[in-house]
Amino acid sequence: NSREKVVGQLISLAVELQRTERWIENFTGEVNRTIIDHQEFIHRTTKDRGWDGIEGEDEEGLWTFASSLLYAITVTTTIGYGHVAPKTPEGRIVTIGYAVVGIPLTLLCLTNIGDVMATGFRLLYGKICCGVCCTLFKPRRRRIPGDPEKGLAGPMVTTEEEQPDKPKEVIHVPTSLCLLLIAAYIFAGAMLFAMWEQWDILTGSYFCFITLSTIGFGDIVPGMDSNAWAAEEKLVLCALYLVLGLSLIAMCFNLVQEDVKAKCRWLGMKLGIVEKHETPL
Amino acid sequence: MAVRPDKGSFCKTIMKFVFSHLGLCVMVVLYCVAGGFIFEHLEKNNEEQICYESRDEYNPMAEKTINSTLQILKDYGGGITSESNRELMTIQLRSILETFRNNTLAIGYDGRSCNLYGQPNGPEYKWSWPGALMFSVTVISTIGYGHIAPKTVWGRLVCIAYAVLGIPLMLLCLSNIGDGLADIFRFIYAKICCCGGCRRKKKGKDKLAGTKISNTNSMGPWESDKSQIIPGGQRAPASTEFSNLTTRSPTESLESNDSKRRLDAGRRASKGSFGRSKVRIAPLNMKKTDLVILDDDSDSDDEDDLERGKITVPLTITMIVIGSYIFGGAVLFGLWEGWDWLQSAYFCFITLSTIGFGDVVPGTDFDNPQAQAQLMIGSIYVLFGMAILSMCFSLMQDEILAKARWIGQKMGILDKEAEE
Repeated sequence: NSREKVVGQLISLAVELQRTERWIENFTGEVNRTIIDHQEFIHRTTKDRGWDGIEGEDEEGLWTFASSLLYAITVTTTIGYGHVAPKTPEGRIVTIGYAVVGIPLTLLCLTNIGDVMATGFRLLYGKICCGVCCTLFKPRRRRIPGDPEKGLAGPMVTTEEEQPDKPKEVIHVPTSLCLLLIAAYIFAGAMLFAMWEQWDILTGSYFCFITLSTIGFGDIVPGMDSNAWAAEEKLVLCALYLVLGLSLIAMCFNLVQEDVKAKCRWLGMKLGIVEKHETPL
Repeated sequence: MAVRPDKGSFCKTIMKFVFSHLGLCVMVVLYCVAGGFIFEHLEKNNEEQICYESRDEYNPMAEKTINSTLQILKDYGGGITSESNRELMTIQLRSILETFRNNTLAIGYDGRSCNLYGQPNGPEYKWSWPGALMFSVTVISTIGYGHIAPKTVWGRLVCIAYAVLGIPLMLLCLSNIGDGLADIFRFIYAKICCCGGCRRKKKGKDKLAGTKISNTNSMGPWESDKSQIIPGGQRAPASTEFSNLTTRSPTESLESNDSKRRLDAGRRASKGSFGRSKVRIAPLNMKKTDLVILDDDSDSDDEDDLERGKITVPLTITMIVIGSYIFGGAVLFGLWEGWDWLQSAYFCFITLSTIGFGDVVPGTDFDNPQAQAQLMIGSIYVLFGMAILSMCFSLMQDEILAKARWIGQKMGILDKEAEE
């Protein structure tokens, strides 16, 4: 323990120098140097080995269950904050194994959830649209309740089969609505975290965006001030926000896919990159 | 097209190039370089500013610590020789040092001389151009180390905008490159395979011609691989189906730019309209005998490949490619940065999986004079790694789907009838 060493050093210095005449001046210089060395040591250990100054019974403070849960989620969703990161060799090896299994699993799960949510959202959107513009959509109305029901009832596969067969039945959720949804979610999260963590709105939305895009810097993370109120709950809530947000993004990917592709092809045709005879596809 | 004037077709050629494989790569590289300049400009001054501020906070605190230490020692004066006094002194000194340590960590000043930034014997900027380049790369590849992160308001706003534009661009580029590289790899693999003593007779032209045969509408792998369900004899009708598909327009380079490949690797292939599910006949009845390597089944592969000209690269080969890239990177960075083997491998894996903790990053040991070069090599490693990963995903996609389906059938989750 370096602190004990420094204390010992100071005391022995004092004992020695006291015997000399002008011990105070000498001592000042020595103490100065000792403190500076200690500071360098602190920084070196913090930088190299990630010691964050917690000792003794607080050592478990960083790896509580809640923060480990958040850590595990950041690994499998590839966000990877890094504010807690494994330092032991065993921890690192286990992280690698955990990621190799967890990342494909999470991708699969998110895709699935995205499918389900997208279908539900299309249904909802269709019903709202029908409610709003009754007259325009009358011819479709008879068939719209049928399609999504079939799609939801049967295995996931069959929804895709029906779409190409009856292209007019597909409810296209506009891309702008999806983008709006994502932006609203980010903003809502920003407000929530800003309120809780006393951040400003910009910091909150920066955090939400960086998290949901799975970039995950980790420079600001909620719930890291372990002395604050409800730190553990905040971490869990952050994890939930994360998972929900990623499912939402998966859903939006699903919804806008065809729209984006159609637009890209349109753009490509306009630019003359894509040949016109491919439109039938 | 013939009616267009020359300028128009020249523009078109330019556009075609831009959106071709090479063009996208160049765009991504330029985007990173530009990002490097932007973020360097935005954050460099702030870094110096922060240094000054933290130094001004730290120095008085250090002074105070020293004074209180001296005070304690003075108070004890001559009584320092007695044991009990020494004990008391130890306790007091310990608490002083603890406060000092907490304050030091909170302030985060590491004793550098702030006015010597950028000079030969002074501290290195974290936000130098190579550092900002590495930062840009980590943003658009969604790795996001976080060892440096923007702190200014403008830096953060620009970061968000940069990501919103850059991530789709990167995904587009990666899926483009992935396809291209996968085709090249398959071609090379086929050549090697054939030199290894396969009995293929008519290979060459078919393979080259059929490089971009994609199955687009309404035939996800569920239906198209009917041949795999029924063991033995029914491959013939399925083959004729596929020969119909081969007559579709092969130039689907834009459709195959499904930019969300990573997220959707499994499911997208089963989505109707523009799924990139390549029609691949890797008959499952053969897989039952040999789950791992397909190139032993050269006989049966021959007929099918004649139809479509596509080789399936077995899963193990792609795993080996990824593994060797990680290993190569581990060796490189281990030697260069002086990390031990596990740390380098850990870094390579965490980087390539885009998790990106940021606790271990090359080029951040700023005492090392080669830090800048290390940052650049690190960025290049990341970009190449992403491309290779994309290629491997492209190669693995159908394999995994076929295997997953096989497992599903074995476990009774998937009914054979459901695939009709």
